[in-house]
This record gives sequence, structure tokens and C-alpha cells, in this order.
Amino acid sequence: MPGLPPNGAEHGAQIDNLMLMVHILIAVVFVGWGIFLAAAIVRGRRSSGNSPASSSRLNRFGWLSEISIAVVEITLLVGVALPFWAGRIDAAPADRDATVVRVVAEQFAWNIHYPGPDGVFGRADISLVTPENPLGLDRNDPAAKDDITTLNVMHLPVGRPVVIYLSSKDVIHSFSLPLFRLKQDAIPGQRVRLWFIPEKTSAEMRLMMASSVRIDPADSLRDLSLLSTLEAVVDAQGLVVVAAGSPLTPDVIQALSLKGIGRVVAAPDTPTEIACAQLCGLGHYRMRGFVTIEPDSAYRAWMAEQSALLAQ
Amino acid sequence: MSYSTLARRVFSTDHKVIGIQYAMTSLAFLLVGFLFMLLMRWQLAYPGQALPWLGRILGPERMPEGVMLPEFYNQLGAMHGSIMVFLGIVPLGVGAFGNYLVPLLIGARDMAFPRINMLSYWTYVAGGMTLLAGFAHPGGAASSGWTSYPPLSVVANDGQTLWLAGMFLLGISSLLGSINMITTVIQLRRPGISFMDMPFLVWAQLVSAFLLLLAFPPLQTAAALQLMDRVAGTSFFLPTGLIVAGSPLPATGGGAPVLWQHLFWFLAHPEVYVLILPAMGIVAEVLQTNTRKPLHGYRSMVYATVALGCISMIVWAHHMFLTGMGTVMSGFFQATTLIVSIPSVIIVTSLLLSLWGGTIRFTTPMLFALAFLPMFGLGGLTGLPLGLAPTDMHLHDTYYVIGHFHYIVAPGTIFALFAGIYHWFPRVTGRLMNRTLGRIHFLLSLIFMNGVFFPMFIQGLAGVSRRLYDGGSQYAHAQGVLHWNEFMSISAWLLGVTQLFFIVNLFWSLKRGKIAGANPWDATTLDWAPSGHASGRSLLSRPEEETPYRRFRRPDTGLKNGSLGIGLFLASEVMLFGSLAAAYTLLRINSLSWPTGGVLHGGTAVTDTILLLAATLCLGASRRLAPRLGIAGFLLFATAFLGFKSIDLASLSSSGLVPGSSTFLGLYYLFSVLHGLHVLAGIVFAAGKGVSNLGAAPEEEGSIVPGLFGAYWLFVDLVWILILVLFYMP
Repeated sequence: MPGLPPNGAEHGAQIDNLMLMVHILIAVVFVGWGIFLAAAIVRGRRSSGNSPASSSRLNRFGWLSEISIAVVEITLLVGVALPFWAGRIDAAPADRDATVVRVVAEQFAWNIHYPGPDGVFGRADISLVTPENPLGLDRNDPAAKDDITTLNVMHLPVGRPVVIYLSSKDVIHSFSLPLFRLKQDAIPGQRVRLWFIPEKTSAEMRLMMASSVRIDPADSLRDLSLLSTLEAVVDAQGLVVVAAGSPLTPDVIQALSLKGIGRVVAAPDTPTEIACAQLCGLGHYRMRGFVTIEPDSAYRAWMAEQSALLAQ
Repeated sequence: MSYSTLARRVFSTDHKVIGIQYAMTSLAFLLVGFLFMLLMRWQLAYPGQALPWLGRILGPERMPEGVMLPEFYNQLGAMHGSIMVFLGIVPLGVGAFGNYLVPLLIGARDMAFPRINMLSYWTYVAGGMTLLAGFAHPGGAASSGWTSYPPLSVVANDGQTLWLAGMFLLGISSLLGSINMITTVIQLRRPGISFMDMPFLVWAQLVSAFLLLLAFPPLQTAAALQLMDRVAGTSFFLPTGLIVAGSPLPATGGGAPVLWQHLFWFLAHPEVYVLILPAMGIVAEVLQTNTRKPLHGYRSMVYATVALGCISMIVWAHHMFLTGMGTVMSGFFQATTLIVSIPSVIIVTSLLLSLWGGTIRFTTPMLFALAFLPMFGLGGLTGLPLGLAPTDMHLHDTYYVIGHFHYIVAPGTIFALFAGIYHWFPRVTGRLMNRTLGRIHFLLSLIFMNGVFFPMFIQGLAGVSRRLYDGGSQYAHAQGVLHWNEFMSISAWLLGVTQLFFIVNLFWSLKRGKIAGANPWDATTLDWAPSGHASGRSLLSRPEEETPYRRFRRPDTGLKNGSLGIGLFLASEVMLFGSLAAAYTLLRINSLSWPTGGVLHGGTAVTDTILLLAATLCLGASRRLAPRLGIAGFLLFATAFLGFKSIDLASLSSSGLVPGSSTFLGLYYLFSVLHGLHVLAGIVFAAGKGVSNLGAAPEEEGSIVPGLFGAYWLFVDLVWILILVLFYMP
């Protein structure tokens, strides 16, 4: 459906399809009402002394439109929405078939916790919480020795189910992956299990989000530094002005406009983000995390790197 | 100001004066809430850009050097929502239009309880001032959103305490107002006006009043619980093991944050219909008058409205699909949500069909009413993807939600309220509002409202979260739709400028408007029936006439006003203690350890029970056997109960068992205090007003009091039994 960001999750197509169907319903009903309203106005303005329309015909018209709206709504509910929600629960993968991650939200960051090679999360205790150990992980626990924790950085392999155990340390947050059509409230005192299957890597998502961006040095109000050029930009002489992957900082924009380049194709550097969707305090707006979906080999390499860092 | 002016203009009991008071106050609040948003829209369009002159006015704790702080942004956001809903639109739709029009439309002289009506207005003013007082407080106003979700709201600044106190007052105000409205409609219809003869506007007000009556008490319960969490150290909404800002929160824990959401949305969803129903009522009247024909499908509209009211009480959890809901729960609430959309569609369809075949007059109120239909329609339709859980998963808490409900309340409800103001202004003042200014106001408002709210759907579909201080500029997925922020803000500011046409028109027309005559729109409803304008008692009434059915039963309903009023009051009390008992149940299920006995002394419960029973028996005796002695005994035993109870609570807390010790004790204190307040109210009533005529024999004049008071006291006893069951049974 136009207007939706690209979708990278297996279940996302179903959501997008339902979204499209509902919006078609909205458009049809809204346009229908609009046409009727316009017709009634035109008719009412012309016809002073007009005889009222037949009430039974109007009645039939009214009932017909009310019943058809109800039927479409019920079809969408029974045919799509309910099976989807049930399917999400029935098809939930077992932990052993999935990449398992624990996510603990706090004001204003996402703690990401991997069980490490042993596949078991170590013990955590709130009395052990320190600025260096925000999860209160007990490193003396054998299961905790290989656990990997990061702040705001999550890596996941593509094409394999991901299970996330979501909770919060302080207030209610909402864990949102807009590009994977996943959103779940993180409520303190509750641990919620959610899952999805990423089908596209972050690099692929970046390509899907590429768009032509207008370069205008006067437009200083727009911060474009989250975007970077997709390909190298060349001037009329074929000389490279900026290399591929250059962020659109004010300097780069200046350089481009000096060469008279009005548009470049750019895409976000970090397309796949974790957003907080629930007001959680004054830093709510900057509670941003990064998820990198990558091929299994890259994921393993990152994991090994983290383990090596831990061992030091 | 002389005493009589004061009584006539300020502390008036006349429904028309109170209606105008409500109108002026709520319009002022609407302006304040709107200005807050215009301020926020600066930060959203140009994040971090300074407005030095404003910084000097608002001070460094809000806008240092003219740059808005996130704290201040959140305060403005929370207060914008609270003001618009609770202090602006509902008081305008229900308090102003309901008070002014309903008695006129049913041929009543005034509301059933004029003094309670006045009390309701002044409680509303006090509640509103309490909410706003936060800005004068050093910590600032409430900042946790108009939804005030805990734990955030519990750990938030002191403005939240004022917000909760204000909500409690507003709850009392709307309770008094709704009892009054329902009693008026049921009891004071002119003989010959049946329920199905009432204008649709009256039906809409009646259903709204029922919703307020039954849905506000759970919010008051929630406010009381959150207030205790904030000031008495309880943990009703705080789970065990919270770590806030890096250190453990000193609280016992064991609470449930989601409990607040259930209680809050149990009110706040019906509240949406309290916003919209009076608006639909206004539109129905304006359409009828300006199409020169009756409504199409009046009956189905009435049934749809009643159905809407009933079903709206069981849809609340569609705001909570993402709190970790199972299949059955989400299925149920998705189904009820779609079902509730059907009566709304019926009402909109009927209003649209009413236009067909009419001779339409394009007066200013008619323009607003016509625009209401598609705008409200769009707001309603965009509720569908939010009511279906799968699409809600993407759209929840995004700008799509904001677009959706603003279409319902802004170009929807507010347009209807403008239609009402333009339509009834001549009824109130005897003068017409200027037509040219009105048309400019209409056209520009329509354009700019859409300019503000339509892009929100675009941003929401892109996945941009709401309540972001910088409008989402840090997020990559927002980059493609960020440029709309400037567009929306400029539209909002122009919308603000447009309202000057209305404000100028309002005051100019007051003095200079064209003289309207008694019925400028050739309306056929009773509100335009010839009678004195603007001042004095309304329609067909003799000034000295007393409110009917105060002392005698109305033949067709079989009720006296007072008994109906008390019955409605007790219904809301049942909702209050019922929601408190529901909270008790959920907290008990949720808690890891619940005392199985031994915390409270059974002995004190026995003494309490004996004292309360003795008071009840004395009250019974006062009716027949020994009037004076009975009342004296009642006052004695009830006061003894209160005294004993206070000693009990004092000794409990001095032995270290304070409300914060455990959820069990916190609830015990809360139940005891609420019950005690009801006992106290009983004593004050019986001692003050009652003593003189409580003992009167039933057939004597004024004898309604013991019967009504008896019903109240029986309820107080029932609550006591509930307390015994909940806290003394193992």
C-alpha cells in the first residue's frame, strides 16, 4: 500500500494487505458519502419548493449502504484480522528454533541481552544494577559468563525466526520496529514474548528506502544527515563530487550545490530502527535503537566479535 | 456588584445563565488548549529553533533562550489533551448546550435541581483551575500525557498530583450535571411530550449524561489509587523491582500498571461518545431547520444512539491491543469495536439522507453542519484500521491515531459546536452573528483544519510515533514525511488567525449584530417558542412556579425527582465501589503474597459493625416509632463509628502498618476512608438539613427525605459489608 514504509518481515505482508483493504473501504465509503452530499446540496439549492423524496426509497438506500459497510467490516474481522492474531500465537516458534534475545527498556535506551553460545540467559538481580551493569547481570552465575549485552544495538540473522522477551525496568515503553511491522508495549512487571521472521537484510531495506532528495543549501531547517548518498555523485565532467555512502551533512550539501547538482539519490544509513512508541518521559523522542538484519555469516562474525570483547 | 446582580449573573441557578457561563468558560479553555498546541507546533516544525521573545515571557525553566525544553513540551502536550477534552469540548457540548437547550426543548422551566446545577458549574471551574495550577507550581504541570499512564505518572513531577485532584473535581462536576440532566429529561418533559417526541438533541444529551454518570466513577477510582501511589506510598500501579534513573524505587511493589489503563479507558472511551453525541444532536437540529424538513429515520437514530451508549461501555480495551493480550480478549474487543461502528454509521447515514429532497438554506450554521458530516465521517472511518488488531500493530501510538481522533473532535465536534453557536446566538442575544465573517471563518477553518490533520495520516502510515518532542527528526523512517511538519504547523497557525474572525464576530455581534426577531431561522422546535429573551425564566412558565414532581410522583414515570436523583447517584456509587472492588480483585490476583488473616483485628470489625447496625436501626426507628430519639441515636452511633474508625486507622498506622506497607493495607485504608466519607456525609446531612423534618411522618410534606436518605444509608451499609468480605474474610 502506498504510504507504508517498506516491509521486511514475513508477517508484514498480511498487515499491509489488510491495511490496503481497510483503506479501500474507507475511500469507497468516504467518496460515496461525498458524492451523495454533493448531489443533495446541488439538488437542495436548485429546488425551492421541491417535493420531498420518497421516504421508502431513501430508507432502502440507507439500509443497503449500512448493511454493506457492516458486511465488509465483519468480513475483514472474521476473514483476516482474527485468523491473523490467532496465527501469530499458533505459529509462534519454539525458542530452540529461533534467535532469542531479551530486550529490557529503560528511560531512554534499549538494553539488548543475548544468552551467548550456551543459549541460556544468566541470572539477573536488581540489586546488582550499576551504570556499567544496567541489567544487573550476575557474572558469577555460570550461565551468565558468556552472555552478551549491548545498549541500543541489536544484530539479527535474516530468514530465521526471532524471539524477543520484552520487559521494562521503569516505566511503560513501546518497542516498535516500523519496518518489520512489529510493535509491543514494554510494561514493567510483565515479560512479553514476541516474535517475527526478518526476510530482508538492513542493506536491502536501505535500497528499498532510497529516494531522490532535493539539494537546497538554503533549506537549512531540514537536517538531512541521517541520509547518505546511494552511489557516487559525479558532476558534468564526470568527476566524483561525493563518494557513495556520504552522509548529507551541510558540507556535502554545500559541495553538491556548488556543482549545480539539484537532486541526489539517498537513503538512510540506519534504515532499520527501534523506536519508542509510548511516551516514557522527557527523553522519549531520542529513545532510538538500531537493529541490523544481516546474513547469518555476518551475524555470527558480529557475535564472535562481541564474545571476544567480553573475554578481554 | 450588588447582591442581586451577583445572584443573577454569577451564582445563578437559572439554566440559561449557567449554560452561558459554561459556554464562555469552556470557550476560554478551548482557546488556551489551542494556544498550547500552537506553541508545540513551533517546536515540531523547527525543532530546537529559538524564539527569544517567548523565552523571556515563559522563563528559563520552560524555554531557556527561547528554546523549548522537552519537559515543557510534555507539559503542554498533557495539558492540551486534558484541557480540550475535559475543560473545553465536553463542558461546551454538555454543560453549555445541554443546560441551555434541553429544558427549552422539552418545555421545562429549568433543570430539575437548579442549585446542584450551579454547584456543578463551580466545581468544574475549580477542577479546571486545579489542573492549570500546575503551571504556577515550580515543577510545572502534569507531563505524562492526558492518559497519565503509570508508572511514569507516579514518578512524575507534582503537577500530576494537581491533575489527579482536578480530575476528581471534574468527576464530581459531571456526576452532578449528569444526574441533573437525566432527571430533567425524564421528569420535566411537558405533559404530552413523549420520549419519542423529543428532539434528537435531547436524546443525544440524555445518552451522554448516562455515559458520564456511569463511566466517570472508574476514573475517579483510578485517580484515587494513583493519588495514593504518589502521596501515601502505596504501589497499586507499581510492580515489584522498579529501577528508575539507575536506582531502585523505594516502593513495596506488587501493583499492576495495566490496571490503570483498564480503569482509564473504561471512562475515556465512552467519553469519546460524550464528545460526539451532543455534536450530532446540534447537527441534527441545524439540518432540520435549514432543510425545512424533519430528520430522516428519527427512530433508527434514537435506537442507534442508545445502542452506541451501551456498546461504548465494552470497547475500552481496543486501546490496549499491544499490552500483551490473548486471542480471546483481542477478538472480543475487536468485535465490539466493529459493532459500535454500526450505530455510528446509521446516525451519519440518517443525517446525510435527511438532506435529500430538502430545500437547503446555506446559513453559517448550516455550512458548519454540512462540513461536519464528511469530516466526522473520515474520523470515524479511520478508526477502522485502529480497531483491527493487525493494522493497529503498525498504527498504534503513531500520528495516524492523532489524525483519527482529531478528525472526530476538531472538524467534527468543534464544527458542530460552531454550528450551534452561530445557530443559537440569536436565541441567546436577540441578534444575528455577521454572515460574511461567519463564512470566512467557516471556509478558512475547513481548509486549515484539513491542512493540520490530514498529513497526520501520512506520517502515521510511515510509522512516526506520536508525542515526539522533535517531531521524529531523529528517525530514519520519518525522514520522508518530516517536511509535512512545517506544513501542518503553518496550517495550525493560520487556523489560529482564522479564529479571530469568530472572536471578533462574537463580540461585535453582541452589540451591533442584526436584530434577529423571535425566530430568525423559522425553526419549529420549542427552543424558539416565543418567550422572554435572554433573561428571566423561560417558556410558558410563571416565575413563582415550583419545580414539578418535587413532592409528588409524576404519573407516567411513577417517580419523584428526588428519588430518581438519588437512584442515579447510587448507580454511580455502585460504579465507583464496583470499580474499586474490580481493582481489588485484579491486584489480589496479581500479588505474590496476600495476607490470609491476622493483619486486622476481627474485634474492631465487630464493634464497627455493631455501631453501624445501631445507627441503621435508629434511622429505621425514626420513621415510625420515635422520630426525635431515633435521629439522636443515629447521629450518636454514626459519629461513634467514625470516631472508632479513626482511632483504629490511627493506631494501625502508628504501629507501622501504613498504607504503603502492602497492597492489602493500602486498599483497606482507601476503602475505609471512602466509606468513612460517606458516613460523614450522612451525618452532616442528617444533622443539618435532616433534623428539622427527618422525623416527619411519611404522609407529611417533605417526608421524601427519610425514604431517600434511607436508601443512601442502606448503600453505606452495603459498602461496609463489602469491606467486611474483602478485608476480614480469609
